[in-house]
Amino acid sequence: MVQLKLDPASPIPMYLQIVEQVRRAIAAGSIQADDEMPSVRALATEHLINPNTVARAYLELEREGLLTKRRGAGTYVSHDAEELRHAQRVRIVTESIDQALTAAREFGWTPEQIRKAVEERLNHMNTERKR
Amino acid sequence: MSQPAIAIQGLSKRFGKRAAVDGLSFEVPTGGVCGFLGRNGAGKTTAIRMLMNLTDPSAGQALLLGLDSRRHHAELMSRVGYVAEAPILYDWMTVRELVRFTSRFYERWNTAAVDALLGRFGIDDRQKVRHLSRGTHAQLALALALGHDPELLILDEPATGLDVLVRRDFLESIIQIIQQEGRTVLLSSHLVHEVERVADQIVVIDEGRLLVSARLDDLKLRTGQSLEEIFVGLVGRREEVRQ
Amino acid sequence: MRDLRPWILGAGALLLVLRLLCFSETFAEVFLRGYLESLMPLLGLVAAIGLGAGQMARERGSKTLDFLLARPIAPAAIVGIKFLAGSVALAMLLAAIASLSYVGTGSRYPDVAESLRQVVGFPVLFAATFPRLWCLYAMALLLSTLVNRLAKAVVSGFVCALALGTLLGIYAELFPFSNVDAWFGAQFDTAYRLLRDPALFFRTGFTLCAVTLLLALAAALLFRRSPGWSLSNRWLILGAAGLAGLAIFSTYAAAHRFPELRPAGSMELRMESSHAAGAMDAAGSLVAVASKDRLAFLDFSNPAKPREFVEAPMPLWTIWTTVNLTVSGTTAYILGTRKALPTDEVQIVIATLTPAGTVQFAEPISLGDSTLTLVDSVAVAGHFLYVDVNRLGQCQIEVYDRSPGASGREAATVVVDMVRWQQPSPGPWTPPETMRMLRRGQFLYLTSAAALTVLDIRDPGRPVAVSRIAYREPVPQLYGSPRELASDGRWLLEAENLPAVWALYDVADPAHPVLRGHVPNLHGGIVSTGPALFRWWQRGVLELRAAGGGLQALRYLTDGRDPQAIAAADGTVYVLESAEDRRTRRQFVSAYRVNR
Repeated sequence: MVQLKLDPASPIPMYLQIVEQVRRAIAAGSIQADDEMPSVRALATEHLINPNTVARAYLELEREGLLTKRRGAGTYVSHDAEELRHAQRVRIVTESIDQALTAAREFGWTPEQIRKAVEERLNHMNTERKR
Repeated sequence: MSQPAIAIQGLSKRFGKRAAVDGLSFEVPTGGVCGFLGRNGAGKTTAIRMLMNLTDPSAGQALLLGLDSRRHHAELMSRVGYVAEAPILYDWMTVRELVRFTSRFYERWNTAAVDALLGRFGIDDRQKVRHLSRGTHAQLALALALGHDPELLILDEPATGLDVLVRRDFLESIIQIIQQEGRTVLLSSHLVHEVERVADQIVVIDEGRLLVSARLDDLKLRTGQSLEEIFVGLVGRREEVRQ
Repeated sequence: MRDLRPWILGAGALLLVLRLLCFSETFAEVFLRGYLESLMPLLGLVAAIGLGAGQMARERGSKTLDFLLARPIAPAAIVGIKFLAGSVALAMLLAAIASLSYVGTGSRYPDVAESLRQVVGFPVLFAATFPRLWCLYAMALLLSTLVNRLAKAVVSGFVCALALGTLLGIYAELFPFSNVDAWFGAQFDTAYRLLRDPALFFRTGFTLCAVTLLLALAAALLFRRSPGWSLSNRWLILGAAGLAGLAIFSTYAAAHRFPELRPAGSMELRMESSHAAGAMDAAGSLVAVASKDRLAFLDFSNPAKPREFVEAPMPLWTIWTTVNLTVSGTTAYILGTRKALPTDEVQIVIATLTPAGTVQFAEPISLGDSTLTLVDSVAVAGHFLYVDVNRLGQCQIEVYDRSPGASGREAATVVVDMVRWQQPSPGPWTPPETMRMLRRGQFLYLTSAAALTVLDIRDPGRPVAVSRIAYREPVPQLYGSPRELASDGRWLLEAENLPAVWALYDVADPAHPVLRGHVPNLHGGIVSTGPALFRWWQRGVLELRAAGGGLQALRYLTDGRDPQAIAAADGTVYVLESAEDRRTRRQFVSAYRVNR
């Protein structure tokens, strides 16, 4: 089941928080295709938030194809989630890489320095894993 | 769905020279929660009282559910629920008597729902109203306001100064109402964090004038700030201007 | 209705306590005497205003009104329902208050108040009082809708009631013969009056009820328009000040309502008597004034310069007390008692003013023992004297022939009535002579214990009774109370005792008076000359005319002094006045020319 941690006081609108966390959950594999999502009502009651917010989040996720609504049965993680997972993962990693690159650029690193840093970190991670 | 639940135009109230509410205009679409924010004394309660036809406006008009609040008072009251700030109830009645007394005013009254609410809040219906604690009193006021299944619920600082559990009860009730089709809630509060949880729309007033009326999500995306920061930014800025 | 419980419980408790206390006879007596007079209307007033003022203002003040306003009920309906509930509560309260008047009835020797209670009865009292209090209640309710605090509503309610009371009192003074107290009084007298006059009862009842409903409607409409609105303190104070100002202004206006007539002439009375003059009569321009033991003749032939002809002591060698006097031609007939043994004697002293300006006393006529002979007054027609006397219960007219050559003794007697005293004997306030007499032209009108009798004196020596109108006092204790008479030639006024009204008789045919109606009689004491009637009023005399079944005030004869006696002759009204001037009492006789 997906564990959402929602922060109403965050500058990020709540529906976006839900969307993002569901994406991550799918990407991480903590929810699988054909898993049933909690109903709008249940989620709203559990987190004490507006059902419209949950509905909007679900709508957005449906548009992205991550969730499907089955008539009379509720909302489920879509079949394609498997493939989309990959896309999600790529997206998440790409986003992180973009973040790192942006920071490096700001510090004035050259592409050569960046590549060197990346390789160094990769080696470090590999040695860690071997241990 | 086509007409807004609340439509205010140019609403003003003057007390002598002072304008408690000055040319207020905004709309609340059906089917959502509108958080009505403002500092103490900004004019929220006055505006709400004018909506409920408890005070006459000096100018302007208020339409609830498409009906003029002054001209269709009785009809509106059967479709609107209201919990005032520090609500006053007939304190010499017992809870049971008060519920029965209130129910007689309405054609539709959901006795089962009210009993369920009273049970959930843990209110003993044989007690006299004046012996209830402040929190229980407020819960009772809420139960009474919900008994006739209103399309529009107006809450004026309902849980200010009450403990967390009571506040949760109010939030739960709001959420339950919103889940039904075509129901709207106007929540006036200065507990910004709680408003933030449930509001679809935010209306901020200061010194009787409208500062902003917008969807909460849009506001956050636009400003990248939390509601508290947005609020302080809006109202605080006016202070600087005044100085 | 529930919130009216405190009123009902409180009233119930109060009444229970009072009822229990009334088991003590002393308390009952003392309480009831005071209660009937003043406490009952006061309680009614407090109940009506308190109830009305409380209903809306209390809810506003305690904010429970918001609770009702948030319900699907029209604001006007809120007022309407409160009005209904309040009216019912008022009726119950009034029933309780009124019923308290009937506590302890049935004592063996009922006095006037007691008999009045028995005559009026509870239902009539209730039906008479309820419309008036209902109206007050509606007024208080209207005020209550305008105000936002209970205290303010109650205070303004009472201020309004006070102002209203003042204005009504002034109105009653301005229009002394309007039926104001029938409209607004809430006491036994009013109830009795209404009982006697069903037309008035229904007229006042319906009108007041209609006004009440209008007031309630106004309250509902006002509230509907603006449920949240209430009069600011500024307006309340202005309103109160306005009412007070209006009341004061009306008092002033009332004092100068009637065109005033000043005396044509006035003179100070200087009689060598230690007693003030009390009796006066006039014939032509001759005025006779008598104090206890002295007599004065005054000349008003030139009213601007009146003078005293002569003043003389009563020519008797023992103590004399004047009762009253009548003047005819140049002779004054003074009725009084002379101290004698074993009992005092009633006599008529005859004093004639000689052309020389002295007083000549003729042989007095002795009427009898003062304990057995009760005389009212003397009427004169030519040489004949008519005296109305009550001898041992027998009311009669005695004729004395004073023609020169006649014996001077009693010439004829006509019995008109028998006074039958029932147990208990009459109270100390009932004048024992029981009769009043008025001569008008060739007829004598006489009121006695049970009838108005008209005597024809065309043959002066032999009066003949030509008609008799019987009446009955409604309350046994008033049997035998005399009824004053006055006439202006066209109308005859007879003062009834209960209620205090004048019965108006049409005497176009003087021998057969026909009762036409009743007119309120507020103060009593009326004389007539020519076509007008004159009556004491405040510090002067009002000139009245009977017209259209009522009395109309025309002019006010005054020069600022208190009137004590009035006499009228030949188009002039003479008023015996007294004035206090630094602790000494001075007396004046003023002449007012009232001829048109």
